[in-house]
Amino acid sequence: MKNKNAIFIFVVVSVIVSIAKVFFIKDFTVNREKIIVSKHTTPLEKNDLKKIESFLKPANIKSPNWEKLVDYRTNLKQTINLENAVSYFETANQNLSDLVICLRKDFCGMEPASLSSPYFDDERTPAHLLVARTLDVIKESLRLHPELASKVDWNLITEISGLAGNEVRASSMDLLVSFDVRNNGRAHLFEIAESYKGEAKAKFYSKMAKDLEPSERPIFISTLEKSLEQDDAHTVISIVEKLNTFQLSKNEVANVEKVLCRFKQDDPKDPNWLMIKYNMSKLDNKFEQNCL
Amino acid sequence: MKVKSTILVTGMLLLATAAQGSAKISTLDRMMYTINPQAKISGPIFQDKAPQEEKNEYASKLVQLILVEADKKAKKYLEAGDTQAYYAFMTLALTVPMHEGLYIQFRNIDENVCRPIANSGELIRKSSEASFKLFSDYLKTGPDAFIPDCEKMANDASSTQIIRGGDGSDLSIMQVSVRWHADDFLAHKKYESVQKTLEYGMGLLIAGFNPVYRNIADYTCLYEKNGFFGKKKISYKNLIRGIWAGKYNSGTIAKTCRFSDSSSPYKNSDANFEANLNKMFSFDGELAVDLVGSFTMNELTKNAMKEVIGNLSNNTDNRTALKLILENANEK
Repeated sequence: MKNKNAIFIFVVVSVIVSIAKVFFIKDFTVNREKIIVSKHTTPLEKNDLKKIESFLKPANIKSPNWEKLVDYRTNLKQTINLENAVSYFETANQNLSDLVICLRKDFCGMEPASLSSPYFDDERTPAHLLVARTLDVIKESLRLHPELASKVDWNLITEISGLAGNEVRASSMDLLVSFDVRNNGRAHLFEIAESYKGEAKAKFYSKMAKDLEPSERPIFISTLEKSLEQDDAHTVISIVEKLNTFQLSKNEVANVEKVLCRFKQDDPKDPNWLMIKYNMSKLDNKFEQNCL
Repeated sequence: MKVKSTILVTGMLLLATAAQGSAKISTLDRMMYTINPQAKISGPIFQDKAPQEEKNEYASKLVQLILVEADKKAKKYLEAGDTQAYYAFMTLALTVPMHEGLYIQFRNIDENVCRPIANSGELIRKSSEASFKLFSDYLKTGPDAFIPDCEKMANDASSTQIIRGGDGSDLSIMQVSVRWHADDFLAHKKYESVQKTLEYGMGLLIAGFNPVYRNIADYTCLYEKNGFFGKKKISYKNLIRGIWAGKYNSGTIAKTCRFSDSSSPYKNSDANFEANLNKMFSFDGELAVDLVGSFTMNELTKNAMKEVIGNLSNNTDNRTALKLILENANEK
C-alpha cells in the first residue's frame, strides 16, 4: 500500500513538473544561463595573454609597441614605418626566444576553456598565434630595414619553422626564404619542409617556386617529386592544386605525372584520382592517357 | 565551437507553444548580445514578431547565402567530378549554422531586451577569463563598441542583437569562439556581416573536410558496409558527422571519430548534431529549427535544398535550382 501511494505521488509530481516546464519555460531557460555561470565559478584558464606574458621578461613587454603587437586589430603594414621599424623589431626580437620556449613546453600554459569544453586546437593556440604575429613584426621591420637581419637569431627561426602549426610555419618560412642572410643556401629549408603536411607543405613549395634561384631548381624538383611519391593523399592534392603556379617545364611536368599515376585506381570514380586528374588536366590534357 | 546541446529539449517543447508566426520568442532574449544600434551590420535580420511569410523569406534568403558561400569552398570537388563530396559538403554547410546558431545571426525586436549579465561581460567572465579579456578588448572598447553596456542603450525602444553561446564565449550563426578566433574573426570584425561570418565558418569546415576526406582510409568510422559481402564504402552521413565532431567542435581532426565512441563525454552533443542532420535529410520544404520554429522555404530555395540532399542520398547530380541561386549571386 505504501508503495502504491509513493508511486501515485511520484506520478502526480512528475505531471506537475512537466506542465510547469511547458508554461514556465522562460524560467527554465533563465536557469540555464545561471547554471552555466555557477558551473564555472573557478575558471580553468586565466587571461591567455597574462599567462603568456608571465613567461616573458617584464622589461621586454613594457613598450607601447608590445601593446600594438598583441592587438590583432593593428595592421602591421600600416603601423610599422621607416621611423619606428627598429623599435618594433627590438620588441619582437627580444621576446621571441622566450615565447618559443613556453610554446614548446606546454603551449605557454594554454588549456581548454573548461573541463566540459571539447575545443582545443593544439596547432593553433593563442600562443601559436602570438609567435606567428611576432615573426610577422620582424618580417615587416626587415622589409623596411634589411640591415636588421644581422641581429636575427636565424637558428631560432629555423627551429620555429620545424614546429607544428600552419601559421607559425608560414611566418617563419617567409622570413627564412626572403631574409636569411647567412651564406648557407636554402637547401636546408627543403629538409625542414619534408615533415610538413597538407596546406603547409603546398604553401612552402608555392613560396619557393616564386623565389627560386636557378641553382635551386634541381633540389626543388627532386624534393617535390619525392613528396608527390611518398606523402599522404591530402598533402599531395594540396600541392597538386598549386602546381600550375610552379612554372614547370614540359619535362618536369612529365616527371611529376609519372609519380602521380600511383593514385590511379580500378575505380575511375575514386575521389583522390578524380581530384588529381582534374588539377593535372590544367597542365596537360593527356595526363590520364599518360598513366595507362 | 560548442554545440548548443541544451537547447534541444527546450526547443522541442517550445515548438509547440512559441513559434506561432508572429509571437515573440522570449527564449531568444537569453541567447543574444544586444548590439550598438549604430553598428554597421549587414545580412538578413531575424524578426520573431514578423508574419510567417516574412520569416520564410528570411530563412530562404539565409539558406541561399549559405549555399553560395559553401559552393565557393567546395566547387572544386564538383568540377573534378566528385559530386558526392560536393553535396556532402553542401549538406554539412546547411546543417552547421542551423545546429550552431539556429539559423540566426542578427535579431531585431521592438522591445528593449538587453540583458546586463550578458552585455556587461559578467556571463562570459564566469566561464572564461581568457574569452572575457578578448570580449572586452574587441567588442566593448570605445564609444562605438559593438556590444555596449545595457545602460548605454536604456532609452532604446527596440533591440538589435547577435546570437551568442550559452556561456557567451561563442558568437554568431557559426558560433565562432572569441578566444580561438580573435586574430581574424574578431580583429577584422567579420561578425558584423552574415556573409563574412558564413565565409569564415565555411573556411573552418573545409579545413576539416579536405584532410579527412582525402585520407579517409585512416578513419574506419567513416565507412559503411555495402551489403553482406560487398566492399565497404564511404558513409557520407558519417563524414558530415565526423567533420563537425572533429575539426569544428573539438578543434582537431584527430577527434573525427568521436561521434562513434559510445563512451565519449560528448556523445549527447554528437547525437544532437545528428538529429539536426536528420532533419536535413528528411527536408521536404519545411525546416523546424530548434527554439525558433518552422520555416517554409520559397520555391527556389526549397528546390535547391532538395537537390542538394537528394543528390547526396541518391548519388545524382541535378542542380537546376542550385545553379540559378549561384548564378544570381554571381550577377550581384
